[in-house]
Order: sequence, then structure tokens, then C-alpha cells
Amino acid sequence: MPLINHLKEHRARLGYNQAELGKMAGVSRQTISLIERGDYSPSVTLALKLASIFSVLVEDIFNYNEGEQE
Amino acid sequence: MKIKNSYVKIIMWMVLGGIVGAIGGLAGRTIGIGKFKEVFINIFELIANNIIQIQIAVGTLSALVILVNYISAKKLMVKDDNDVDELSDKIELKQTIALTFCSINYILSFILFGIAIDGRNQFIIASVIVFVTVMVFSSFMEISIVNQIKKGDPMKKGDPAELDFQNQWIDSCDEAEKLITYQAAYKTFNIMKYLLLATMIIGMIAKAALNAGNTIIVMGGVLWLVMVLAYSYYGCKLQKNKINL
Repeated sequence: MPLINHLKEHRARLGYNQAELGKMAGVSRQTISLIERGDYSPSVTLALKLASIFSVLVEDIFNYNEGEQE
Repeated sequence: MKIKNSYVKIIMWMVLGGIVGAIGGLAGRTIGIGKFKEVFINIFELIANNIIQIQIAVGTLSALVILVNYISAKKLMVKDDNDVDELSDKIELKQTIALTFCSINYILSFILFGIAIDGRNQFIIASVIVFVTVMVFSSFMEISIVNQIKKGDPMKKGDPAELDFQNQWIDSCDEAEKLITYQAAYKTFNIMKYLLLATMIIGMIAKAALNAGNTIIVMGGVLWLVMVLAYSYYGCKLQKNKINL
């Protein structure tokens, strides 16, 4: 997956569990889990929402690495 | 050797199908279609003669799987655990198993009830009672499981007792859940194409060997046609609409 994310680290920093973060972002716990595992690349809207929750830039959570395999 | 030309490839598949069909036909003639017929008739006789016991056994087993998973999920939901995320994964797995078995129970009950409607079935009233009991139980359990899921995830909407439950449910799913549903539906569509083709072939064999008539062939063909037309219609319709994941 060329999209690397640091969602788990940011979530741990604020002490939220997946369900709590999902509720704040308006998505299910499973979706947060899928993103953290790198099994799902979120939409731009969701990525922006997550960045807003953590008060960081989208690039602080998600990095695109071309060297990684899709 | 890998064949690259698509036209040659498709002809090869057709030739292969022809060879398999010819071998099957020859085997049928050599061994004798009568023997196949005998085996099938014996199997169906066995099922028809014990249909009430089979109905009860299948209904009870499915009910047990549904109940065990539902109760187990309910217990886990009130459990205080440090790893909430891992616990939620376990609960969701149990709920998925319970819901899947509700559907399996419906389908198997319909098949068995269809077989039970037979002049030779001495326990036809009992068969009807078992069928109705299983259907009521599965429907009630489906409502309970959906309510349990909604309790764990208040974003989920929909009442299984309403006709547009599937629409309400998918509308309440988020982008990843919708994507998973659509991918699963596409894979199912592809599986169904092969299954319906197989159904028609089985229908042809059943017609030749068991005098089963044209019903299976026509039903398989109609379902295949409806599926492909519905897929094309919704494909064209959705291309013109706003894509809303």
C-alpha cells in the first residue's frame, strides 16, 4: 500500500479508542481499524476530518510513498 | 505455452467444454443413465422419507449456532476489557456469524419445506409447524441481532421488519463499509454467473436422465438474464448519477 498512515499513533496520543474516534469522525469503528491496518485508503473528506480532529495537517497522518507496493 | 489471442482462447474453452460434454455423454451411455437415475431417486427417497427428522435437525442446529453467538456477543458487550478494540472485533464476528446463520436457516428451511410438500410425507402438518417455527425464530433473531448491532453502533439505521431495510441499512453505512458491500456484491455477481451456467447444465442432465422437464433450465436462464440486465441497467444509471460512497 503506497499510503502510509500514523493514525494509530495520533489516536494513542489523545487516548481515544477506535470507537470513540469513529464517532467523532462520523464513521464506524471498523473503518478506523481498516485505515490503521493500511487496508483502506480514506476519502479526502475523511482524511481532512481526521486531521481536523487531531489538529494536524493531513500529511502528518498520511504519507504517500511511491516506493511501496499497492 | 500461453495463448495470447482472445479468439483462439475462447474457441479453446468451447472445445474443452465440448470434450467434457462428450465424455459425460459417453460415460452416461456406457454406465447407463438408468444407474444415475436410480442413485438420484434413492437419495431423494431417503430424504423424502426422513424429511421431518431432517427439518428438525437442521432447524435445531442452526438455532443453536444463532443463539450461542448472539448470547456470547451480548455477554461480551457488557464485559469490561482494557483492549476495547479487540473486544469489539470479537463481538462483531459473533454477530456476523449469527446473522449469516439466520439467512442459512431461511434458505435451508425453504428447500426442506419444498421437499416436504409431497404426497408420501405422512407428517405434512408437522413439517408445516417446523417450517413456520424456524421462520418465526429466524426472523425474531434477525431483529434481535440487528438491534444488538445498532446498540453497539448507534450510526446504524434500519428496521428488518420493513421492506426497505436493506436501503436504510446501506444508507447508514460509512464509505469503507459501503465499499466492502459493493466489492462483495461484485464478487457474488461473478460467482452467480458460473453457478447459473452450472444450474442450466445440471438442468439439461436432469432432463435427459431423470425426465425432470424444462423448469430448471428455464428458471436458470431467466435468473441469469434478469441478473445481467439488472447489472447493466444499474451500471448505466449510476454512471449518470453522483457517485456517493
